[in-house]
Amino acid sequence: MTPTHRHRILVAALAITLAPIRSHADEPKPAAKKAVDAKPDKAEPKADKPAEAKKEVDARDAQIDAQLQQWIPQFTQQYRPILTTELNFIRQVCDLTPEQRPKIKTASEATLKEAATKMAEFQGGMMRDGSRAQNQQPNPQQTIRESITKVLQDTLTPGQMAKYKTEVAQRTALRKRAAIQGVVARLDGTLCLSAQQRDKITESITAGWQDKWEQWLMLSIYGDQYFPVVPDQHIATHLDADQKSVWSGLQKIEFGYYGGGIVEADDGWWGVEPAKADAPMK
Amino acid sequence: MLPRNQSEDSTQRGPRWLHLLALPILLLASFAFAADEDDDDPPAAAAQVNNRFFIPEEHFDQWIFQGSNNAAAGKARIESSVKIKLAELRRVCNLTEAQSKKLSLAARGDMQQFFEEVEVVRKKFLKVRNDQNAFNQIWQEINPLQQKQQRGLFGDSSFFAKTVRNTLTREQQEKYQVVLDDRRRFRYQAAAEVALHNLSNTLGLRHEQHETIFKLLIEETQPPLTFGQYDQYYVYYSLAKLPDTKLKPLMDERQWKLLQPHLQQGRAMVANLMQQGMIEPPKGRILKSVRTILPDVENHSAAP
Repeated sequence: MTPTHRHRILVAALAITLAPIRSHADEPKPAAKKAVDAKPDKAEPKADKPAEAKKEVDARDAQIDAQLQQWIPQFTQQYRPILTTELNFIRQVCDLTPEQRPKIKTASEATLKEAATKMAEFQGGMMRDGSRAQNQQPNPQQTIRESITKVLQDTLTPGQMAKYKTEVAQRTALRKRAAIQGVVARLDGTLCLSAQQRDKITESITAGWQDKWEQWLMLSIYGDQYFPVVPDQHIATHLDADQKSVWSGLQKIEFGYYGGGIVEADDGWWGVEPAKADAPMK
Repeated sequence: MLPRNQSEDSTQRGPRWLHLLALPILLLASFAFAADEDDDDPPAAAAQVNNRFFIPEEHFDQWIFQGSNNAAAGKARIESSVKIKLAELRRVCNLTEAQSKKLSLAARGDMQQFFEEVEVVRKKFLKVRNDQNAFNQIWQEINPLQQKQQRGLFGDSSFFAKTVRNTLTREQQEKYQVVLDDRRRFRYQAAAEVALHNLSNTLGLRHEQHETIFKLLIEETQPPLTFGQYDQYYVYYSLAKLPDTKLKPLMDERQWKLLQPHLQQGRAMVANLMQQGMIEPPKGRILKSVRTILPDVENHSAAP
């Protein structure tokens, strides 16, 4: 087992560990419940102690702000493989000139920071009011891809851009196909689906596809232990009673965002220094 | 790669470091789960107040019957799995009443054996759930049961699988084998898609390259005998078995160079893939892993 693989598993394990908590992110936690219950008191501090109440809130905000600054480099490190994957892709499909390369490489670093900052701010928001829904969680892959597209629009020729867009669309379709087939194949192994059931479930998930489900591609890391959270309307509707019983008992988790152990090629092709290691996690 | 001796120790249950990782994950996950279910859980609250090591019995059931809150729900799920298998056999093979009864009885035997094993370990667990050191020892007995339940109780060596082999007629077996082969091919295609996606993160495969390599894999390599967490390595192993003359022309020099560590990884995983039952071991060695429940693997062998 390579260190890279171990690292991937460790991060994935962290995602599993957090899953029971994450899956209830929409609901206030016991501590958060208490905080919510206590809100009226905090909103209208007692007349004799307004200064203390404000001080308390300010101190908590300062603590969250400090935490947020620590998270940004951590998320930058976590999401760097996503950026490296995009750069590898651009390198293969765009036929960049030597002049274009450093411009794209340098600008792409900002897209990474943007994704990391969005996620850190989301986590900070969760700490502040504890009520942000999980479905508001930013998608770092999407952020990086969209921001890079803007960078490319300013740098590539129309011909290069058209080629890039075509390849991106095809890649998106491939990933969707792979993610869906991966889940349906796993279900098939567990629920002994008929060919007709496989087709129906595939069609249903395809029709209701959400971009964040691309993370299902990480499913293979977990072996046969976990399933992704798929809305029942895409699965249960097509199962018989016994299959439904098994499906309802399977362990389902939300997958965190992790780009895998993709390391940037250190060959000077981009015309700038490869990115230095991000700040270590504290 | 793990050193050879470690690889050999890992058996079908996966690498040892993964087991070590699994314990804290399961502990944390089950504690979190229990907290979500009932914040006022008396035993857990008592454990916190007294600062003593204590594990409620329901956690034992959640470890063994993962995904179920208690043993009854876990048993019901296993029974549903049996019904699913029997329903498929009936659908595909037109079982006679006698065959159906025989298979059902065999499956009950496998379940009964498993539930008895669980009760034996449960008694041991209840004796040590206050003692952290002793609990660590008993985990060595909980873990195999958990793995067995996850893999399914009706693998090659089960009463059920043996009864399928001995009860179905040749014609029924052939029909069922078609269904199993179809399932294996479908899952192999899925594994190949995912593995190519992962490779593409490094190689930056263009659409045409992806599709050509995918086609080559599906047409010129065989699905593994079973599936699991090593699927991706099996695909790398299969890619490594393809002649360079077929693979190399499909990519540029840089991509070919970047592919080499992955191919090497695939070649280096042969022992693990055998342990997982994904490829046939050399003749004379007994494969204990879970595979297809029918014996006819000669035509589908993925032997190195």
